[in-house]
Amino acid sequence: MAEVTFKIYRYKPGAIDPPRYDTYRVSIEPHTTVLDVLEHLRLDDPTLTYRHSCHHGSCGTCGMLVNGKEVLACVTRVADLKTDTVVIEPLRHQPLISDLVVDMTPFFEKYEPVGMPYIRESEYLPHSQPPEEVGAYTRFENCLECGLCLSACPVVGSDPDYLGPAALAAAARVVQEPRGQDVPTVLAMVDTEEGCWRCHAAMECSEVCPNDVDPGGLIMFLRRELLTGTSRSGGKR
Amino acid sequence: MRPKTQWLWQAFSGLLLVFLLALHLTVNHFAAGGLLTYEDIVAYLAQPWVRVLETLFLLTVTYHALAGVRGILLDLNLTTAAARRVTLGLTVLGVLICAYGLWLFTTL
Ligand code: HEM
Ligand code: SF4
Ligand code: SF4
Ligand code: FES
Repeated sequence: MAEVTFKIYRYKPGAIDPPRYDTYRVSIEPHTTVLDVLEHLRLDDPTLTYRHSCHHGSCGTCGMLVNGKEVLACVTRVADLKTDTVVIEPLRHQPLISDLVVDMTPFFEKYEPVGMPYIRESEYLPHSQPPEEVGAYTRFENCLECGLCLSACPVVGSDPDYLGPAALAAAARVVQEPRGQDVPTVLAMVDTEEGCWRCHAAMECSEVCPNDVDPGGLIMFLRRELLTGTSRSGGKR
Repeated sequence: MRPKTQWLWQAFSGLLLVFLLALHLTVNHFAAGGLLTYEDIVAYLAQPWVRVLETLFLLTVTYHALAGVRGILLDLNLTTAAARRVTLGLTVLGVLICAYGLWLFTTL
């Protein structure tokens, strides 16, 4: 058991305003996650707010900044951070509601119009023959809709009109595997100054994405697609 | 220009710069210690093919650098009117830079 200091960003409009950092000392086990710590602290202070659901890195709701980096709190072990002090803050570039909770409305306003289907062809069972009633094996798309990439992207920070990595990655997936979506419409959506051409290929989005969506790479895929119209067969996955 | 075309020109001028910049740096600054005296430079620039390449270098680097700066400024969430002013301002600046450079050639 080791003792670790946690500095947690606190803000509540009208109540904790201006924001401040509250400091706590917490004993951690080797497997204690950042989310475990927050849940432990909340027993003493029920006003501490954060989002979570699944506890296993699949719902995408527990995104936050831990020591300045975008992570999912539920799959981030405190011991792996290897620091005596852990700073926990809300995601960047999204409106702050309270403590560690940001408003995901702007995220979904850009993400949903793309209309990415939630399932994709599974690449994990290439040699097995699916039963006739199944047709083809499918699995869920990689994107957890966590918004970590928007927080990491410098362009999202300076230009709120930029479509952003998550929506652009979703558009690229539609181009790669339309599943009934209208590809020319989606391509027209991203072929704009505020679409895939606004990106500066800093690749911070791909760096922080917890589920290998590789939004930066998919933005480059969209550019190739728009420039040549031939990269469809080269689409990964 | 459409954003797609802008990006293509940025990449194309960047590719050109790989060669032109390497050539410019090598001849002007590195090869045989570089061109150190006024006479060296005048003699170098007197060669017609050098004038062609250095002119191309001037136009390419000016376009590439200013178009790049424009791309960065447009990240600042400008209004349409402000973005238009940025484009106009940088275009004027680019024309002035190129005109000054070309005029310098004529003085040699
Ligand atoms: C070896 C020569 C060069 C190559 C291959 C090159 C290539 C590129 C490319 C491909 C881009 C587009 C990046 C993007 O999509 O965001 C770019 C952007 C840019 N370049 Fe160059 N470039 C070169 C030299 C230069 C020089 C000499 C300057 C300055 C005088 C310059 C200034 C810029 C600026 C300001 C940008 C915009 C940055 C951005 O959009 O993120 N480049 N360059
Ligand atoms: S690669 Fe593009 S979308 Fe991703 S962080 Fe960089 S600028 Fe943003
Ligand atoms: S692309 Fe990655 S980082 Fe962005 S919302 Fe989807 S899962 Fe999260
Ligand atoms: S709680 Fe679901 S991803 Fe962390």
